[in-house]
Amino acid sequence: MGNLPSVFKDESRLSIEYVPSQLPHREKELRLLEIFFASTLENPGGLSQRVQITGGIGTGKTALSKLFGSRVENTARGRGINLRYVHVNCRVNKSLFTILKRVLESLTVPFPQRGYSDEELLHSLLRYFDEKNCFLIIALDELESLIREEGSEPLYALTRVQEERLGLLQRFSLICIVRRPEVFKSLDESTVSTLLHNVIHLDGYSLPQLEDILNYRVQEAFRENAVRSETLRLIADVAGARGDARYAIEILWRAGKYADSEESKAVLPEHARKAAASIYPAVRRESLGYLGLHERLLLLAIARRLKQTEAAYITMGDVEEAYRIVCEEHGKEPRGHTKIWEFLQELEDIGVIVTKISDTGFRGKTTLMGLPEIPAAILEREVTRLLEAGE
Amino acid sequence: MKSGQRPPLEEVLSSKGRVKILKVLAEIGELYVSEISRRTGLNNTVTTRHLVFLVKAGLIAEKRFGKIRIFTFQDLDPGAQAIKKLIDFWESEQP
Repeated sequence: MGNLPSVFKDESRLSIEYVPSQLPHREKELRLLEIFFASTLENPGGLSQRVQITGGIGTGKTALSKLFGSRVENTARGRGINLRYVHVNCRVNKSLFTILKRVLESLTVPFPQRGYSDEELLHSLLRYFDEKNCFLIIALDELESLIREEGSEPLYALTRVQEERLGLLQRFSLICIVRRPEVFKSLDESTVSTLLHNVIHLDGYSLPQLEDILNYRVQEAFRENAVRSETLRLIADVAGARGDARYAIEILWRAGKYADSEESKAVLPEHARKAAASIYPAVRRESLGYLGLHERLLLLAIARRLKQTEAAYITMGDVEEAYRIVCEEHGKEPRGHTKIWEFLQELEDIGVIVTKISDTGFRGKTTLMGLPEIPAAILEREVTRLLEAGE
Repeated sequence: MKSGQRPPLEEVLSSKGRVKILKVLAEIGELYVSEISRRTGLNNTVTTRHLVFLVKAGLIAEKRFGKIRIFTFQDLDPGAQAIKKLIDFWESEQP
């Protein structure tokens, strides 16, 4: 098969992992991060810095932190400082152990990853950094997942381990990335007190800001004149209500794919409309991609039950029953009530379901589950596809 | 072998296992015992025995970080440098 012409020159520039070299409308926040970490470069090891980045989905938290990370590593290298930045997604790495494992892998630290407690590993890592005179900034992205899974413990360990090392240099700094700062309320006070000093909050992007971002990404990812300005404006309009740049970029990418599939030389508004209709913010690639097997099975159960009953909301009892049936169908052992409850909270956190407390029509108070704006049939289709692909 | 005194070269190179370990460490730089053992296909006891020999020969060093023990190729040692050159030459000649 020959190479078909494409509107893209490099579609990887639209992937979730890609970090652009510029972040339009986040210059101030980037500068602020640099100011917070200035002492790390001026007086390495003098102070362990802790910064919080908060903001809704698609407000640029991850990109901001990663861009800062690569810039600070470069600056440090130029000054002969061995400073490394490691970005850890806590939805994937939900325990202190897996976070440390990720650090070991990223920095190719030659340590065994089994046979030692978290604490032993952490202390050994600090000694290794002493020997290499290395400093580390760990960015804990989607920190909510870690807190839900392990409570205060990992953060407490990461912040306090250095304080026990009297007279030695501070090797770790932390960037905590969360959607809602309220998540810190569930932590014990001594942990919170060390985390709340430096906060950078990112508001949703405005419509003109989204247009600027899209324009920038178009220049990077598409051939010249491949995307009409009216198409861009339309995408900005669709994503504008949420102020969500990631959503806008995903529509842009899919619109490009529709254009390619029709062998069109340009991405037209109609392609953008089709793209927008095909993605619901809740079923974006990154929302569902990180879910574990049982979270996916649970989501499938909810989608099916909502479809069958044609109800707006279903009860916890309904969910559990439907989940057990789905588990049986997939030959999996269903998890217990407490675990199901945790999964539901996680699904709500990423915005793929909504919950509310029952009012009238139910005996007592019960939690009801529903879907935000996505048809149950489409969610069912997407989750089934993921389960079949085993992605 | 007394400490600080290099063993004869034929003794260093007479063991397949030692050469394998030297090749791994010359390439990677530093590793822990079970990973060296995995990469060389030697069992843990044999690996440890060879590592002790190579430490005494001054070609590698043992470092401890808390409970974790790792072995490092001694890049600054002239003997280790010469062996690395030999390994590099030999490996580059392989088809």
